[in-house]
Amino acid sequence: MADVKDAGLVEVQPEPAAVAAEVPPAIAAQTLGQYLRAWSVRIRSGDSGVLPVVLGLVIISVVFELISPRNAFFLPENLVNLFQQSAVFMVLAMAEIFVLLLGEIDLSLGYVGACGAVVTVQLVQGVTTNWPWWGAIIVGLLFCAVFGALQGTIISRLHVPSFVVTLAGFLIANGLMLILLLLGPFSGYITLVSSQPNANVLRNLMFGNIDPTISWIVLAIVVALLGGWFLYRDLNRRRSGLVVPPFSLVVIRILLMAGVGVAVVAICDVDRSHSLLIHVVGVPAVIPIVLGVLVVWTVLLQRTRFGRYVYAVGGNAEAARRAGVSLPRIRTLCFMLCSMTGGIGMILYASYLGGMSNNVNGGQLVLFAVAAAVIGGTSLFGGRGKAMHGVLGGLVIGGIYNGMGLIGLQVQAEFIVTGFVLIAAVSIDALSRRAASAGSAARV
Amino acid sequence: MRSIRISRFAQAGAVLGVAAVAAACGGNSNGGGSSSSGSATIPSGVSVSSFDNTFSEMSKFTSLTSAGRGLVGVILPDTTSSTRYVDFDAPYLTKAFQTAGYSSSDFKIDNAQGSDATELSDAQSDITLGASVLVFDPLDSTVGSQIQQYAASHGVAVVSYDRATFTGSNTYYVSFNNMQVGKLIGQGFQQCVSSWNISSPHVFELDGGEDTDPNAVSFAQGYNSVIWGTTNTPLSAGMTNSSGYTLVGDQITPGWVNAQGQTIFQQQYTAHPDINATVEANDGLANAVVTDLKNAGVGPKKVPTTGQDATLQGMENILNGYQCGSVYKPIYLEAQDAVAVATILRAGLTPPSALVNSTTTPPHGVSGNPQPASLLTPTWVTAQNMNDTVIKDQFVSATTLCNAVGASVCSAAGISG
Amino acid sequence: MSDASLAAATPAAAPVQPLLEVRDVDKHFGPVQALYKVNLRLTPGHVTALCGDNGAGKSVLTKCIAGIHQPDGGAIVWQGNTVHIRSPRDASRLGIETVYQDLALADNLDIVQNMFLGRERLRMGGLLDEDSMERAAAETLAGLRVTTVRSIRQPVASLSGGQRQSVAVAKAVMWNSKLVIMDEPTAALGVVQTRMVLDLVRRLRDRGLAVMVISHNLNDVFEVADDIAILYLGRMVAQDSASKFDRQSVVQYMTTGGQLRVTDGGPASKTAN
Ligand SMILES: Nc1ncnc2c1ncn2[C@@H]1O[C@H](COP(=O)(O)OP(=O)(O)OP(=O)(O)O)[C@@H](O)[C@H]1O
Ligand SMILES: [Mg+2]
Repeated sequence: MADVKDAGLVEVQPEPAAVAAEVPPAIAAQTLGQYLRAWSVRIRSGDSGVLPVVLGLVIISVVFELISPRNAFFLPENLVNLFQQSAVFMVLAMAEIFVLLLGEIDLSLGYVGACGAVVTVQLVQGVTTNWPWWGAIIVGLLFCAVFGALQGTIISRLHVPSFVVTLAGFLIANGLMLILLLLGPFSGYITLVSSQPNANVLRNLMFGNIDPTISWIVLAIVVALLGGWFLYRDLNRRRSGLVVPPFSLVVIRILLMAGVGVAVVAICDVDRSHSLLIHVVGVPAVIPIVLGVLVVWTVLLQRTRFGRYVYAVGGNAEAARRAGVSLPRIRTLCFMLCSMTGGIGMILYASYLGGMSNNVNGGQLVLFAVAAAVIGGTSLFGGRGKAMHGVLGGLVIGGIYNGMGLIGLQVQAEFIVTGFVLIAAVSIDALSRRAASAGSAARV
Repeated sequence: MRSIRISRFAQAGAVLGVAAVAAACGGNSNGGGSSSSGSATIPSGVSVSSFDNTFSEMSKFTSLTSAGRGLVGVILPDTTSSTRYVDFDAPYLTKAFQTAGYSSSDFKIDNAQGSDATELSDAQSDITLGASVLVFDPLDSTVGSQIQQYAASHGVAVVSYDRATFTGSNTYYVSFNNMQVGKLIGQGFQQCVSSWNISSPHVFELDGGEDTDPNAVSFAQGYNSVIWGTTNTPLSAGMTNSSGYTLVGDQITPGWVNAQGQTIFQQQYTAHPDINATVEANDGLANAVVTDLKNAGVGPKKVPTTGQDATLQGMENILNGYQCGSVYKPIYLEAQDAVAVATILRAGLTPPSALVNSTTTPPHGVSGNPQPASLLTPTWVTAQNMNDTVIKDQFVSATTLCNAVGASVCSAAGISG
Repeated sequence: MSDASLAAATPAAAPVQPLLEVRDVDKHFGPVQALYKVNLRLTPGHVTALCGDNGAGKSVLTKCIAGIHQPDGGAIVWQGNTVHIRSPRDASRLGIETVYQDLALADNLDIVQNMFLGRERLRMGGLLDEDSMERAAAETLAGLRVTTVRSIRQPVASLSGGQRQSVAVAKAVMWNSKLVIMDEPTAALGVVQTRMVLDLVRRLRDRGLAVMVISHNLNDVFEVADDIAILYLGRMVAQDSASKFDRQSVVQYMTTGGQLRVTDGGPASKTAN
C-alpha cells in the first residue's frame, strides 16, 4: 500500500485538453502563472464560471457611467442606491437558488415573501398589535417557512411538478397578501414611516446607516479574522499535503477581500445629502444584512451535510437516493428555505418601500429572482450554483434598473434589456453544458 | 470548494473596486444646494388664479429659475389608472418648465408605470442626479410617505402632486380645491334649476363614495353649503331652503360604483316620483341617473343632473340636455402651479400665501400632519363654454363627441368636429 | 434445507470458508419467475464472474444480495448466519457494496464528495470535515493505485470512463467492505480503461475481499475470474473454479443451460436443477 503523501494523485498524466479544461484552475495549478493559464483554458472551453457576469457588470457600469447625465453612475451616493435597489433581487435570487439547485423552480416566492413581509409590517403597527420588531420578523419568516414546507411536501411526496404547485402557491399567496393587507385600519396601505420605534427599526434595515467609525472598526476586525482564518486553513492543508491553490492566489484573494471592504466603506462614507444642514453618511444596514445572508447560506450549502445533499440531488438524484439521502426531506427543506429567504427579501422590500401595499408585484419579482440567479451563473438544470451567484446576478439586474433610472428610460426599456441579458446568461449556461457533455462523451 | 467561493467573491469585489476608483476620480459634484437664492424674487402677485391656458404666467419665473440650482424631478404614478399622466400631465409639465426658463437638463419627468418600487428608485435616481426639488404623484400613501422621508433625509424639498402626502412638515400639496369643486356643482345646479324652469324643486342627492374616499366628503360639503347652507353630509330628507327647494333624499354611493348609484336612484325614484331635480358628485353617477330617467321616459331638460371630471359621457349628456354641467379641472393649471411652487422652493424661498393658499389635513384614520396646500379653482362647464374649455384644451375630442351626439347638436353649441 | 444437502452442493475444491452463500433463492415478479432455487457461494480473496445471457437473472440476483429485492424463498447466509437484507443500508452494514452498472456518481460533485456521499464526516459544529475526508479518499485511491486523476478535487464530470469506474469502485471499498459486487464494470470501456478496471478487481482480491463481477465479455471473465457461475433462465446451471471451464463450455452453458460435450464431468454435476 502506497504512502498517502506520495500517492501521486496530482502527478499529471497527459490528458485531453477538455479534461484539463474542467478542472478548477485553483486546484490544478501550483503557481499563479499556471493558475492563470488553466483559467484561460477553461474559459475558452466554455466553462466560464462567474466571468460573464463580472464582465457584464463592468460593461453595464461603464456604459451607464458614460451615458448618464453628470456621469452619475459611479457617484458614491448612486453606488449606495444601487446596492439598496439590488438588495431585494439579491436575496430573492439566493432564495430561488435553493430550488434551482434541485432542478426545480418556485414561482410563488414573490407573493409568499410578500405575505411574510405584510405580516411583519402589520405586527409592528403601534395602533394595533405593536409587537417588537424581532418578534414580528420571526413570525413573518415562520409564515413563509410553513408555506414553503407545505409546497415542498406536496412536490416531493405527491410527485407533482414544482412548476404547477408553486403556480398554485403564487395565486394563493397573492390572494392571502391582499387579505393580510386589509387587516387593521390601514385601508390596504400600511406604512413603516412613523415615530413608532419598532416600525423605525424595520425601516432602518434598508436606510439606517452605520456610523463610519464603527464600520471601519468592524471591517478591520472582519478582515483580520477572515484573512487569518483563510491563511491558517491554507497553511494547514498545505502541511497535510491536501489540494491547495497557489499560495500567491490565496494572498491575492485576501487582499482583494480587504480592498473591496475598504472600497465599500469608503464609498458609503461620502456624504450623500444635498443640503449643507444634513449629513447622510455611513454603510447602510442592508449591506451587512445581505452579506450575512450570503455567508450563512454559503456555509450551509458548501460546508454542511445538508448542502452537500442538495448538490447531490441536483446532480444525480438516483445516486443520492442510493447513498441513503432522503429525497423528500431534502426537497421539502429546500422549498422551505427558499420561501423563508424570500421572506427576508420581501421584508427588505417593505423596508425599502417604507411599508407594504397592493402595488407590490410578486409575479415580476420572482421572475427577476430567477433571472438574477441564472445571470449570476446558477444552472436552471440543477446541481450547479452558489449563493454568491444571486448577489452578482442581483447586482446586474439592479444595475440595469438603476442606470435606466438615471438616463430617464422607463421600465419598458428595463424589461427589454433585462430580457436580453437573461437570454445571454442562459445561452452561456447551455453552451458550457454542451461543451462539458461533448467533452465527457468524447472521453468515454 | 471554499477556494472557489473566495475567488468569486474577490472577482465581484474587483468591480466595486473599479467603481470606487472611478468615483474618487469623478469627484462628488452634487449641485443641489438650496440655501442661496441670489437677488431673484418671486413674481409679484402670483396666486393660484394667475395661471391660464396661455402659460404666460410661467414666463415671469425665468429669473427665479436661473437663480435656483439643482434638478426638479417629477415622478408620475402610472399609465393605467388614467391616461391623463401620459396625455396631459407630462406634456403640460414640460411646457410649464420650458416657459419658466428651465433647460432640458434642469428637469426630468418619469413615470413609475404602476410599480411603487420603481417610483421610489426614480426618486433616488433624481436625487443622485442633483435634484433639489421632487414633484411626485404618489402611487399610494405607503410609497408617498417613503419618498417624502427619503427626500427629507437628503435635504430635498417635495411637492405632492394631485394626491396629498401627510408625513413630514413642508410637503407642499398641489391640487384642485375639492370643496370648491362641490361649490361649483351646487351653483351650477341652482342656475340649471332656474334655466330649466323647475318649479318647487324636489331634490335627490347622490353622493360619491364617502365610505372610502375623503374627497367625496369635501365635494358634498361644497354643494350642500351652496344649496342648503350647511356643510353636513349626508343630509336628512325634508330639508328645505329659502328658494323653496325640498330635499327628498340624500344617499352615498359606496365606493363610487356607478351601477350601485343607478340602483339607488331607481328605487328612490320609484318611491318618490315627485323627484324633479338631482345632484350627483361626478359624471359617472350623473349618467347612472340619466339612464334611469330615460328608462322612465323622462325627456331632456326636465330633471337636472350634475357632475365633475368633464368626461366624454358627461359632455354628451350636457349637450343632449340631460346634465346641467360638469366641473372641469384643467391639468395645465395643476402643472403650472406645481412648476411655480417647485421653482420657488428650488430657489430656496418660501411660496407666498397667495400661492400656497390653504392647508390639507389628514382624513380620519390617516396618520400624519396637516400640510401646506396650493389649491386651484376648477371651471364649471356647460354647453355655453364647452368649446372654449374642454374642447379647446382637447381634453375631450370634438370629433368623438360630435359623432356621439350628432353634428347639429354640436354646432348648436358652437363645436365643430 | 438440511446441512446434508448443503454439504452436497459445496464444491470440494473450495479452499476457504464461504463469505456469502445464496441457498435455493426464488424470486418472481408476478408470473415471471426470475430466479429458480439459485445457489451461489462467494469466498474471500476470490473473484467470481457471474455469467448469463440477457434476461438470465444476473441483475435480479445481485439486487437480492444488495437488499433492493427480497427473495421469495430460500436464504442468504452471511459468514455462517442467515440474514435478511432489507435495504442497501442493511447490505452496507454487513460489508456488501455494489457498483451499479450506471455507477451512481453525481457529476457535479468532486471525487472526494462522491466517495463520501451519504457518509460524510463531520467535525465540531456539524460542519463537514473536508480535510479528513480528502485524506481518506486519497489514501483509498492510492491503495488501489488509482493515480491517473489529476486532482481528487476535480468534478467527476471531468473524468474518463475508466476513472469514473475507479472512483465508483474506490467508493465501494472505502467502508471496510468484505464483498464488492460490480455489475458490468467494463461494458463501456476501451482497451486501456478495461485493463485499469481489471487490475483494480485483482487488487481487491489481493486485499482479501470477495468480488463478484457480472460480465458478458468472456475475455474479461477468463482474465480475472477465479470462479465462474452461470445463470440460464433463472437457474444456476454451473459454478466452479475458472480452470474447469473453457470459452466454449461457458458459451454453451449460457446459451443452452447444459453441456453437450462433457469434458471433465465437473461442472455438470453442479447443475442446480
Ligand atoms: N422489477 C422487475 N419486474 C418484473 N420483471 C423483472 C424485474 N426485474 C427483472 N425482471 C425480469 O427478470 C428476468 C431477469 O432479469 P435480469 O435483469 O436479472 O437480467 P440480466 O441477467 O441482468 O440481463 P442483462 O444481461 O440484459 O442485464 C427478466 O426476464 C426480466 O424481465
Ligand atoms: Mg443486468
